[in-house]
Amino acid sequence: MTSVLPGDRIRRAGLPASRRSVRPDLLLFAMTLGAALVLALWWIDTPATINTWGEWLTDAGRITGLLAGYVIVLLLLLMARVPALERGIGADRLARWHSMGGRYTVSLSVAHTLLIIWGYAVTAHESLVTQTGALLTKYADVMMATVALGLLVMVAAVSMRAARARMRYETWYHLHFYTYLAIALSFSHEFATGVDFSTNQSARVAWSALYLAVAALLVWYRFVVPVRAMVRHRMVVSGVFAETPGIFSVQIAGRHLDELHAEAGQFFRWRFLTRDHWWQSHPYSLSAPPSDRLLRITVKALGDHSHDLSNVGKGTRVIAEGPYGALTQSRRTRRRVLLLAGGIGVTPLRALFETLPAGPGELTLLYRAAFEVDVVFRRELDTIAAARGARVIYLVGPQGGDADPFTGRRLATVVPGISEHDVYLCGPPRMMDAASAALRRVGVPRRNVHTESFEF
Amino acid sequence: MRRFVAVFVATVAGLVVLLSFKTAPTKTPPAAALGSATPGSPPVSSPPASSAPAVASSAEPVISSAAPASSAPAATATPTPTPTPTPTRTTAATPTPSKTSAKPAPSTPAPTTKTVTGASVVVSEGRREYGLITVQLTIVNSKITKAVASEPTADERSREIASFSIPVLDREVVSSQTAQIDAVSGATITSGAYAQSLQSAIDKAKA
Repeated sequence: MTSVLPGDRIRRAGLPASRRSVRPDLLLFAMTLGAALVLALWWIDTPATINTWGEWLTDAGRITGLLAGYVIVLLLLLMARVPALERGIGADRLARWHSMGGRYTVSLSVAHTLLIIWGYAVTAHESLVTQTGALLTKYADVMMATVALGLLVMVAAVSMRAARARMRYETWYHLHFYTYLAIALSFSHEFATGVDFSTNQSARVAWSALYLAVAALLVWYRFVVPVRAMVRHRMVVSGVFAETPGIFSVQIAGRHLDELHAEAGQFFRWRFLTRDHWWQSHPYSLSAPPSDRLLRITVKALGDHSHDLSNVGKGTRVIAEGPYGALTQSRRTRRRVLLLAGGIGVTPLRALFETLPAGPGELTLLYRAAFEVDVVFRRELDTIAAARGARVIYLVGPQGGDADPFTGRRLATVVPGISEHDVYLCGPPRMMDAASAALRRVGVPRRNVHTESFEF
Repeated sequence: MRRFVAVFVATVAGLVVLLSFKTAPTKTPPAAALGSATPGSPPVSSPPASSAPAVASSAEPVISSAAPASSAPAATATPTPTPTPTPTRTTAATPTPSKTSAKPAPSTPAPTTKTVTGASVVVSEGRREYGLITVQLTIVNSKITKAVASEPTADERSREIASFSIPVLDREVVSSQTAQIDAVSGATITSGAYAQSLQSAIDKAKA
């Protein structure tokens, strides 16, 4: 890959190492298989002699309890930042699955609790109140598990969109961490009171092994790897540049950055070690192809964190977790490529525009923005386009206006032969929905559209 | 919201399907199974088995007259169905009708009390285990007067179930005097293990 930018950037040569990645359907299959095994544990333990209402309720409570304990450890796995998962499934999809699975786990836990109380009460001919009291006071570790249930319900409540809109990200983040405490508190009752574990040692061993494996992955990829990277690469902020009003670039310098094997189109989760922001990490895409000494990100000042970032001092240490992201040249299937950028979604596409292998006339960048002030990198993009025979089209204006290419079949006239293109799409969710619909209308097959959502 | 409803319905459906595979047809009353290891099990207190045939032999009419004293328990049972009390009489009175007097027919002067402990049976549901049940019978004059069972104490749930079911089972044994007892609803597994231990206690008592 040759540099087209003036300046003394040292370009890394060679292709990135081929990396293992897990396909989404493969992961779904593995998770379903695990669920089947968990249900099989219940199956072989239960004789075919249930015939009272109380037994039905109790066994339904056992099934929901087993599933809840299983799904929750899967949720942790999804968030463990395992590179094979991040590469193969994508951070946005992992986050979506995590939030869907989170709602399911909390529902299962609530169902489990209610079914067990009811089933036990019916079987023992007790009232619900007496039975609840008995469970809380006389059954091993159930009190702790009840506290855990309360924590899970709390986390679910504050994670609802309506609640998150009203609270600071910091608050929500801290509250969400209580899920770890909930998992720890409820674990012992699974073995002490759960009939499928209390007398079955091999089941206990397998369950513990699953939890330990996921915990190990979490510790490794979310703690050990970033700390090692920090020591190895010693990244620091080497400059902050204003691009347009409201949009700025941060240049990060480090050592041995080629070892990261970062590619154009990918992003990192950045942790700037300032007093107020060291505990947060935020994802920002590389806005220029990485070199072995410099990385650049470009940020729009939208929230607390991004606004404060514009004032970050030179020399501030940075921990970068990654690289993540599947919007790379390895996804490409056709000769002609359209990079479709919306607003600040242009950042990863700006990097790809420079390095994606393509001959003259094969590469087009369509840059859609609502206001002229949002258009960033105009000079860089024009330079790259001229240097490699690529086309850049700026479409600035409100949605539905003359500049909007996503109405009707206008895309086909703006980009002739669009149905023969691979399309890389990145932007805010609403723009991406409109663009995806428009691409379908003009005949671009879904498998040729590669997307990464910015808000997850 | 739509997706949530779909997942909820799918989960409930899945639960119903799974549970239906483990549901026994309701017409197998567990009670019939209990104590039916040997169908029509022999009466509880008949220590000398050899004497049983002697009962059948109708030396009774003779004997009954000879030993009215010990026939008190006989009053409770007519000879034909369960010759429970009669054996004692027959053993006592080796039929010598001629000797109407003298020989004190009941050679057991005082009531024989014995305590029999049955085998300890594991209370298990499929592959889950909840502890042991051991039934102990107190037999006075070949009649069960008391049944006491140890409670499985592997966990709180077993204790709870035992606390309401075992007293009921104990009472049933005394009232039926056999191993034929009804299971307590909601304590099927416990009742089954109880019956097994009870049967072994009865077998020991007869031996």
